[in-house]
Amino acid sequence: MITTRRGKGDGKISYSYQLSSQSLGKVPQVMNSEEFIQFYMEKGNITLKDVYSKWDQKTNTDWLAESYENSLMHHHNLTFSAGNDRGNLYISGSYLSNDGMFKGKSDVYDRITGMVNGSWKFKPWLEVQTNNQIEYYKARTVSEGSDYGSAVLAALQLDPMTPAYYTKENLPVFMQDYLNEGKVLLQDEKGNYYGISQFNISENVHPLVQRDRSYSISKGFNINGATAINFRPYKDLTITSRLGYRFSSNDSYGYNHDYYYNEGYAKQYYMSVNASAGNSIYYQWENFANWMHQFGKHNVSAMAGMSFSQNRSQSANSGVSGSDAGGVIDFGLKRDDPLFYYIDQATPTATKTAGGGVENFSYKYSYFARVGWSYLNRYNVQATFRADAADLSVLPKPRRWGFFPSVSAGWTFSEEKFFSGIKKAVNFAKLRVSWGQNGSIAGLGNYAYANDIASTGQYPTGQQKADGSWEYIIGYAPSMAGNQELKWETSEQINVGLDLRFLRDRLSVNFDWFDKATKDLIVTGVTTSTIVGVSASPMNAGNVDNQGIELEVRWKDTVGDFYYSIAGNFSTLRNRVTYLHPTLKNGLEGVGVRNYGTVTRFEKGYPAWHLYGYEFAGIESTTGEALFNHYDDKGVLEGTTTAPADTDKRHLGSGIPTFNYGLTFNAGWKGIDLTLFLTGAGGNQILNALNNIDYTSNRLTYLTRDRWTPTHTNGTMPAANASNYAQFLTSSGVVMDASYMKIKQIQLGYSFPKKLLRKIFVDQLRIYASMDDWFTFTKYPGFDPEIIGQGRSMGVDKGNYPTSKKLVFGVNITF
Amino acid sequence: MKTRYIILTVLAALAFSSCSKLLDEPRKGVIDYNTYYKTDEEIESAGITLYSDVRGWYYNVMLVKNIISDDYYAGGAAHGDNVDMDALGEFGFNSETAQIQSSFEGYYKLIYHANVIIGHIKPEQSKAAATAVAEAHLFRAWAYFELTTLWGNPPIVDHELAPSEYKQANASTEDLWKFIEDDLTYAINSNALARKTSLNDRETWRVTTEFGEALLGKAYLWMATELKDKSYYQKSADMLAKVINSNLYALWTDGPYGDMCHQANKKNCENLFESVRVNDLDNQFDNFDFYGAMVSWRSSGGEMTIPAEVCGSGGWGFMVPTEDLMAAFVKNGGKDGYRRTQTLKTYDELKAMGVVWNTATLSTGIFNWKGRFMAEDITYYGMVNFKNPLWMRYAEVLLLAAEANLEAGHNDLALKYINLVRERAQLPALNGVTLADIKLEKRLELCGEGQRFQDLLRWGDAYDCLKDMGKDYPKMEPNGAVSYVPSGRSVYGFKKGKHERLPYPLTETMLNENVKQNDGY
Repeated sequence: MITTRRGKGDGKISYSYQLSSQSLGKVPQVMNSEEFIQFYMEKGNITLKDVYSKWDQKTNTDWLAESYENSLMHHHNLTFSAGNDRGNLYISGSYLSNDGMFKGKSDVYDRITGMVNGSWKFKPWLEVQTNNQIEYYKARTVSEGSDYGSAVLAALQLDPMTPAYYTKENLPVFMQDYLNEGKVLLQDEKGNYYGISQFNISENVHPLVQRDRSYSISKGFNINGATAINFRPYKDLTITSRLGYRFSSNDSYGYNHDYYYNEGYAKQYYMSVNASAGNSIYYQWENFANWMHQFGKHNVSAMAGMSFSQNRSQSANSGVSGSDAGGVIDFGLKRDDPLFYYIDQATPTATKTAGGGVENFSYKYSYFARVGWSYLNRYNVQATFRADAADLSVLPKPRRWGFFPSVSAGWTFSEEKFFSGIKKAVNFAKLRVSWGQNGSIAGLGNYAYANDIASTGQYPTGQQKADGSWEYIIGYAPSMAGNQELKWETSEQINVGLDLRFLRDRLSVNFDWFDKATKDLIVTGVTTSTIVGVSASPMNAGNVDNQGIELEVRWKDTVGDFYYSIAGNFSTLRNRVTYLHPTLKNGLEGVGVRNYGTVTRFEKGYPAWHLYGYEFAGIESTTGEALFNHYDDKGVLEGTTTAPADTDKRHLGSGIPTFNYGLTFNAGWKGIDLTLFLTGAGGNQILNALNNIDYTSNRLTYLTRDRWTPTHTNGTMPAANASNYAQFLTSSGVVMDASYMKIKQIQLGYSFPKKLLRKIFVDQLRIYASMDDWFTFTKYPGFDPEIIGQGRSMGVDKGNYPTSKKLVFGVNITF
Repeated sequence: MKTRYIILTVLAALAFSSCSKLLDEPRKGVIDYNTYYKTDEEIESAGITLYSDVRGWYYNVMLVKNIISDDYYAGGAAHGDNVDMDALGEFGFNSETAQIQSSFEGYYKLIYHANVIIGHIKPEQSKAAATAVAEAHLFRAWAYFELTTLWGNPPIVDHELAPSEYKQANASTEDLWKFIEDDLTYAINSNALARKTSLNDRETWRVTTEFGEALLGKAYLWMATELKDKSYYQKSADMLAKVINSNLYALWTDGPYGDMCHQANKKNCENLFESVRVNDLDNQFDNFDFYGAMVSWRSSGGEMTIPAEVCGSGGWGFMVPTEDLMAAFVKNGGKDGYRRTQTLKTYDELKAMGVVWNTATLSTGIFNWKGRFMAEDITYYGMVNFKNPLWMRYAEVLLLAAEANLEAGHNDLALKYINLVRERAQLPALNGVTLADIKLEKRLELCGEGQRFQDLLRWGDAYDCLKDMGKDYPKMEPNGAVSYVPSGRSVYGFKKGKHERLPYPLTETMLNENVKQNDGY
């Protein structure tokens, strides 16, 4: 249940403001100029002559520092609320402005939100409630999370010898030559030219060039809310009819400049502009009746209802692009002037694209019911049942319905007579047991199970038509095998819990054991047996089991003016693939690192999408080549090899933490309050994919500082020129412990005394300062280990936008 | 109070009103599989996929079947240029050899498309429907003929598989041949296949009844051996006689023997079935296929300078003829026999035509002439060619018929058919015929056309002919001197008990444990 904010009392106005100063959090360390030169001379990519002709002997650019800056986030919120026994009103508005850490206004999120919630009892038997939110946003982002080049990765992989900027006067000869040839080199706002690397010539170009060569922004608004009528014909019966709705509109606009950075990977001699607009209208209509009846010491309840939802969306996009085909440059736009960077200003010869305009609908239809019984707050039993139907774009019609029952029971044994003896010490004790099923369609849509007819190309008959052109017949066949057996993915969860409260609620302990088995997991992108003859459609491919415990202990107490509480939680998770569809005998392949090989796999007996690859077994001391474990045909370890085969790949770890924990400490004394909050996880691994061997790219010092060299033959990392470095980058050599502990928040606040405030007609006034995400403790040498990878990419670090640490100041005031 | 009941009734009515029809939202922008294949145009579009699939087979299938025979070395720029091709020629291939895997996938892709047609089109619907279904049976049988003769016991897939049926097991030899026979019999008896209008009809591009009969006649010849039942020889002879007696096919004599496969001689009177390519510069990438570049003489690295009127340039030099093949020609017609000089050229002969060698190459000093790609047959660095992939010609029908008749005891007919082939090859007529005569004639007449390996397996000659393949490979100096370099393989050549079958692709055995890998792989 989502609790909505409701007004109370006869009118309150409150305002809050929060200012956060953000700076780069945890970042990896890469080689400096000296290390870089040494490394790549060993590898043979550069010579001393290169170094002398292309480096000024002193530049040592820190590309992370050149790409990121400290930035500010503002958040204002103003609320009016009031309420009495017949109804309430809550009105609020907020404004959030976040300029991200990437330099300039290139990663920005601005949002204005308004909220109106209200309810009124028009009659004793009729209440109307409405909650509504209006939001407007605009957003810009930078590229991240790709092993094939992004603004985030470039800051790690560019060589430190290239300066970030050159002034006009100090341009190196090769860049001056580019200008003389008429190439457009990008400049910053001061007119300085961005440095072009002569060492790392790849798709990972200067991060600010990546920022400035294109511009894109998306804007939109959402209106969402729900309005309900609660109707009570009798004391025991409430009938509710609720309409939920969301109207969304979004548009985007962007262009790519003409620019030149390097020949192979980063240049464009023309402009392209694109724009799109879309909207969606969603509604959900629910009708349900709730009956509650009390007789004697018994409470019984029953609920039944239905729900129907529809989402309609439509979008259209269009773009224009110039061209340099055949060496003839069509700029694409009539003038190189920001006032002309619009689709309307395209040259007549520009390539125009248009798409969309399709009205898409999706629907969901459900029935649900619940019955409950309780006795004296001592025993309670509840059973629920849901039937959900997906529309034709999700599941085939005969498999549309999913049925999901659940039951739960509770026994508050502290209410039993036999317990009265210790009730002073243990004032509450409850045992909970539940079993239930949930359905999921795992993001299916777009008729993925269907075998639609698509073109297989044309075939000539060899006959010529009257106009001399050749006669062709276009072939059509199903493009996918189709899967009319596709059905709901079901999660079955068993939960046993114990809630205990001691010493007049000062100490509480909650314990849970759970076992959640996901059956018929829906997987797309499946490879099947060749004899099927066509690509496979999504399948119910496997079962995954999640088992664990959750423990929460909380202590709170007040001593005079001083109050404090400590809450700790600890949970474990054991994730295993327990069954895989026999069609997929050896598992599903996940993501790869560049073209070096796949590193995640979905396989029976292992955690979902576990890391797998070669087992790094040290360095061959005579050559500096990486060694890997080699297994014979029967899977018995045979020794080590520098040239591992596919059959040598083994389980290397998993990106799923096996345990999580957290600790919260709150204390207050005479208006002063302190909060400390820390969290951590462990038992998981990360495969570091921040390095590449295809170019002269900077690497993490983790890999380079203790490398093998002819004079350091007991190095633990491969030689710079190791011929099997690509295999090393998909081996356990780059799989690292991802355990971390973070102090998420240290907050100190002060609430001014009420006596003082009353004189200036203020109810409450609190100011606070906070350090958020400030301290991270981990051995992992890449970015923040907390935010890496999801699904198939679980545990694979390809360079996500770095996390920030924030210094926060805020004020809350209530009139 | 009354208002309450009205509201209650309205709400109750709403709660139970069904909206489930709305869930049946139709898909936009695609053709619904269940309602497709209604009109003749739609049926035609389904049938044409089979023709595209067969054309797609050519590259892998022809290279595999030729290079694996005793007629050719893999070739290329140098040993190791294409590791998989070398492995084929040297019997070092395994379940991961790309061309074997692609051939296998190509056959099952066609089988899927054929099953789509057979499962969704009723032959009685229209003339076009009857044709599509008959063709689907013919093509499916052809794919199974290739799969069965090369892999042994592939799974029979006779309908579109649902996910629960994906793991089909190996089929028995008897079931496979029965399946092939039934499919071809259906196609031939359907009365719905095309038929040439006359001997000189060069328009018909579809598979014909006669092609179906020729395939079935060929299948019967294999069945006699595979099922150890000699009665199939007579069945084969009878079936092939239908093709011969149709008088719609004849050996081509309108130009030099070595030019019979050129663009200008497409769909000539000898060809039973060929896939279609056209020289359409607006759609040239429809003809994207490396075969022309692969088999043309090695000159892409400047190894040879070739006058344009002799042959196209820029080839990658795969499929290098063996000296053993040359010796077979010399044995049957002499060193300078007409068919030899029209099938293979020697170093000296090409030099006389103005060809110049600049560097050493992987060559025996013997070069393919029949089937060569002329400059006008090929474009875009050799990656596009305009020649029709030729699958079966009348000479093969005559030689199959000669063998079937000989085995069935009709020596006169066998002699008649082999002498027809010899006559066109400008060889003297034989007075009597033996199986050895037919074997030699077939090797020479059909060399480079992907027949030899399957024949050697059927005749039981594979070990004797192939046991030393892969021991070494040839190298020719610019002056024409040929030497042999050891391949470096410790194990090479045909191994009994293993190489009678190709390996099932690893992708298949990994995903489908019901398919048993062939022995030795």
